[in-house]
Amino acid sequence: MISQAAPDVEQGLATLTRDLVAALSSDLVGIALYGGLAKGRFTPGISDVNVLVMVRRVDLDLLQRAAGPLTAARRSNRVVALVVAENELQRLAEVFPVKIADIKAAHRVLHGAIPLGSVEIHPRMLVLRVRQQLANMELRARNDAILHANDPANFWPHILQGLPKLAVTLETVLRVPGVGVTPDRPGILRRASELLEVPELMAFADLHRHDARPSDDEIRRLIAIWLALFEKLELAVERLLQ
Amino acid sequence: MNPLDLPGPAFLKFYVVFAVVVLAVARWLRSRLQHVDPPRSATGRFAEGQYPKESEAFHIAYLRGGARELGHTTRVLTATQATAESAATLSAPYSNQIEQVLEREGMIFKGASQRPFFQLTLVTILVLLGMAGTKIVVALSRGRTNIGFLLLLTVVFGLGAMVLLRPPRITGAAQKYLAWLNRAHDGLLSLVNQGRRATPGEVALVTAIYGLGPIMTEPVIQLKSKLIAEAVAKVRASDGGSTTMASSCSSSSSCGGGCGGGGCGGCGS
Repeated sequence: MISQAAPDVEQGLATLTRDLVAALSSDLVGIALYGGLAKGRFTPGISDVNVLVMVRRVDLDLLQRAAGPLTAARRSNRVVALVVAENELQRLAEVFPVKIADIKAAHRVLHGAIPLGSVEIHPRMLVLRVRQQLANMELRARNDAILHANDPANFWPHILQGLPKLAVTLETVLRVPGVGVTPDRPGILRRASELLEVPELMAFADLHRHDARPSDDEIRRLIAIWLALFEKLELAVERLLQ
Repeated sequence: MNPLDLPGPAFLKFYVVFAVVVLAVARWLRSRLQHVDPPRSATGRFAEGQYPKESEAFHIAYLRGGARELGHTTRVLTATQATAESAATLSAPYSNQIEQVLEREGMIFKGASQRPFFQLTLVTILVLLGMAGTKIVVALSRGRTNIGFLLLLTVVFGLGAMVLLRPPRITGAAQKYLAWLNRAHDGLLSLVNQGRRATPGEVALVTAIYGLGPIMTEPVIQLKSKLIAEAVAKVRASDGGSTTMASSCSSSSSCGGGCGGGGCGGCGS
């Protein structure tokens, strides 16, 4: 997935780090890369570059100072920043346990120090959040199925766009009981299919954005599986992590 | 050997080569002048490395493609704001206000800053006329009157000079700035195309920088279809108009070639 464009992104990250250090000086605690690029699952031009910027405190003055470097990074390399104060990671871990667990599991510190080791993810919170995400995807899928009832081809991009998020969610779930996961999305979906005992997931394991669109009949078959998938996953996650 | 002593046909050959060389040198000087940026009361807001504000999308669009691109960017903003949940906060300034800002920032040639280009054109035409005029005087003094081709060539090269040396619209600094913008907004273009977290102002900015071509969001695709339909309708209207004119005119022998651009209202009378 990492291509020749990655060096440009690395250069962009170096520039962002330099500019943030200059703009925030002692207010900056650290910068870390997380998400697809940190996991080796990055498609240039498609994947976001996720960056955690930790600061002493968050206020308007600080955000204005950070705006220049972050805007430049967003526009040139689609860097999406998560700006947090050093004392609020634990609070965020409670309300966004999947995200913080994902960052904790795979990140690369670009500058300073990010005290992620001390952040605790409560398993119950994680289960609830995972179920919420799965239920949310299910409800969206129903709406999309209504919107594109007469044109299944238009539903196809929704499936492809939903897969990365589904993979990240399931990857986080698998990590809780200490299951080793491969960095690639097909590997994660296969492993989740086996462990959660949801064989329907296999239908999506090998789908890629650059694949040719299947026939309308095949898309209809996949839509039917997709619509029924989330409830099964929700129950399986609850079973696995209880 | 004095070229003015050359016989007619040989002098015409010489004059063609002379004029081409003069025009090439003048064109080179014009490109040098374009990169000598006019004095600016610059705030440096349109410079390489300065990421523009969303509200500067209109200035960038105008800089890149004049009123046409400004129109496209404004329509994209309107279309995107109509489908976005956020409140509309941007509106396009008038083009003369944009021109004033761009002139002040040394981005466009306008008014006094165009003078060196007019002076260059004038000098070039004077050189071309000077050589041709001197030869005509020499020829006439020797009793030759076959100067028609030389007059024709002089007019052609004079007009060529006016076209080739007309003042450029944007300065060298503006060219560099636009090239940098193009390189520095790759990420935003892909975010917009994937419909990810892009505000209407950002979509307008990307339109200003790249034009409508590479943008694939739903409102912009619809706008492109609309623009194509408008262009087709315009062509059909003008075709239809001339067809109607031709047919109505042909029905009246008294009309002849008199049906100009104003229509054929008077043919029947």
